[in-house]
Amino acid sequence: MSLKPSILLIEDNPDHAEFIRRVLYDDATDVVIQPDGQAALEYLRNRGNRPSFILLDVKLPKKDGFEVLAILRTNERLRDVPVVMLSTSFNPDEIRRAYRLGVNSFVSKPIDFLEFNKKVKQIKEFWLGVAELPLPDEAKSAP
Amino acid sequence: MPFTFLRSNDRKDSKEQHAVKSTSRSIRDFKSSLIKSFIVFLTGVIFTWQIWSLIVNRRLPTLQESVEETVEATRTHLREFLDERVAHLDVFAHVLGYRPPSSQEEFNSNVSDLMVDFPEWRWVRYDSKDQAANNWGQPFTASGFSAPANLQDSIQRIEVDKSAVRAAAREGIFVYPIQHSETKELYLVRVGIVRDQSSIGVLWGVLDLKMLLARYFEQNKPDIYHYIVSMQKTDLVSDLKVHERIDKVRPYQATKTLVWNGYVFRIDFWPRPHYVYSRAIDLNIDLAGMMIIVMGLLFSTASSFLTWNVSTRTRMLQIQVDKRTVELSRKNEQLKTKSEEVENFIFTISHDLKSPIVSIQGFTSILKEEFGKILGDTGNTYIDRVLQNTMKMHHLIQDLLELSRIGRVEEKMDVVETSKLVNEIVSEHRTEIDKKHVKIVVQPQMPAVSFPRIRMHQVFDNLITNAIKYSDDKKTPEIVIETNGNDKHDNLFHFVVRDNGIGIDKEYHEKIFQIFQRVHVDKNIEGTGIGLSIVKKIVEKYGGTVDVFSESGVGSKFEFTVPRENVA
Repeated sequence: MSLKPSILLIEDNPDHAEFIRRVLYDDATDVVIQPDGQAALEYLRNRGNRPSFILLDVKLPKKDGFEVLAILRTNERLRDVPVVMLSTSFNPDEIRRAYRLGVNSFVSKPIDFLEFNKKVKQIKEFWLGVAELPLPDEAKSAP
Repeated sequence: MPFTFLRSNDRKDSKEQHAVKSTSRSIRDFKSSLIKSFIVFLTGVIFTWQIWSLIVNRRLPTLQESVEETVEATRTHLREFLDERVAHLDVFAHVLGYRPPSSQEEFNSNVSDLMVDFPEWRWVRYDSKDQAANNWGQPFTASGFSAPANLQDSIQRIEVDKSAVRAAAREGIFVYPIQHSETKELYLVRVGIVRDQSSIGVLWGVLDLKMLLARYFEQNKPDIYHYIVSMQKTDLVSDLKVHERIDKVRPYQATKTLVWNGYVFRIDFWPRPHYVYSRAIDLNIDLAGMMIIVMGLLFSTASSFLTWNVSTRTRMLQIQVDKRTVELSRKNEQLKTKSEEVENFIFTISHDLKSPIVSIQGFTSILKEEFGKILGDTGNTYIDRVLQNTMKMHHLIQDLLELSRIGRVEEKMDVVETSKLVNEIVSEHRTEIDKKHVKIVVQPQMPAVSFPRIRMHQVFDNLITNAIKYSDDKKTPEIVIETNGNDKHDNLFHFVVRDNGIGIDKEYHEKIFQIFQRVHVDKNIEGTGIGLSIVKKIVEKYGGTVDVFSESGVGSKFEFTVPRENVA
């Protein structure tokens, strides 16, 4: 069992995934990228350990961000994993919907690359550095 | 399956079915109403016809009968009347004869005494046979009378033959009608023999028949009839029969004959005009009654038709309204769906268009960052241009989407405190303001208005951004945001954003509010050319106007209004 914190990035646009990965990735952090909601859910089901937090794009093929979020929030094992949603467009309805479904924060992707990088960095710093995360159930019952 | 489909669209279909039902009901009603109207109309026609024929058929016989009656009565009465007059004559003759006057004067005075009551008689007395023989007939000839031949004979006989006179005296009375030779008026002549001790006198009287009959008719039938009396001596009964009928052609006119003492009086009757008029008026009253009935029938028919018409029309209209309502609600739903579709479409587009821009920006930035040294100055400049253009493209997309949203999407009204809002906007632009050393004055306590907050923000933001963008480098830029002319009582709030910037030529004042119209082509000033279009569209959507007052090199003043009903 790796002690490295891992971040699950669910993003269908490989470019954006690449930009985010560049910011998130370092020797101390694992970044897993899943290109669609379905694949991400399967990955989460099959993998034993939970990610530290999930970066979830809104628009995804097969199962979109809201569906994934809704499933995560009803899953006993995964319901307390923090989810940060990313959106390219700015739509107040989407934001409201995401929070109603229990998202931890909603971030819209800035056009400006530097801004973009800054935001992603802030997200990582907050969730891995500032916030306390719930211990995984396995870790609790392990000893 | 079709049934479940119908059920699922229950409400819509029930409306349609209602429309269809009421259509068929209306058609049924129309038919029955038509039949009813026709029956009423037919009854009316038959009834009117009956009444008409009743009146017409009754009216004429009544008049004929009345004429007949009158004529018959006249004949009887006239005979009696004439007999009576002649009897009077006899009485007078008797009286006068047995009390012979001593002189002509006495006779005359006696006569005139008697004639007060019987003015139609004229009297002449001959005291002697000679006198009579000499003067006989003179009164006639002198006054234009010609005695009939048989009378002449009598006269001759009286004159010549004593025995004839005696016989005449024994007969007592001779009565003859005579006619005036010129006027053709009829007179009745009475010749009487007067005897006294000394002489045999002849009493001679003339009865003016015209006067007599005039008197008769005055007494008996004063108003009704005109009459003409002609007279002839005849024995031909056939003559009488010819005349004794009512003229069928002129039913109000009648000819009657009266046979009296061997003479035939022919009397033509016809009603006096006013009598005809009065009858006509009677008839008119009946006609009027009938007309009232007919009109009543017509009216009732028409009204029943009209009632039918109105109710049917109302129902038809109702059906149309129902149909339209169904159509409208359908259209409305379609529109709503369309609007939602467009909204989704726009988000999709904005997402799909933005994604590649993010990619371009990202990779270009990485290129610049990590490979900038290899690319050199020119390469870096080009990379900067790519970055600028992608940013511009992003703003264009954003603004276009914004513009398309205004007026299409219904927005919630907020209470917007404008001073506070403007101050917020100013602080959002703090960086540029500080960079350009812009002096900004915001009027405190500007009114609060009811307006979608995000839109009001856009309006002020666009105007303030423009004011900052188009500042004049030669002067210290100054921007004033204030209300103006709110004492105008035009139910509007006037907001002003003015600056001392580069200004706009008058010829472009109209143009600047059009989409993609940029007056100042300055590479250093960014802009999509949509901002003022957005401002105009927002302000006008909420019932206001926007105007520009500007002069090149002096500055610009943008003034927009918000209706006071929008005051929170």
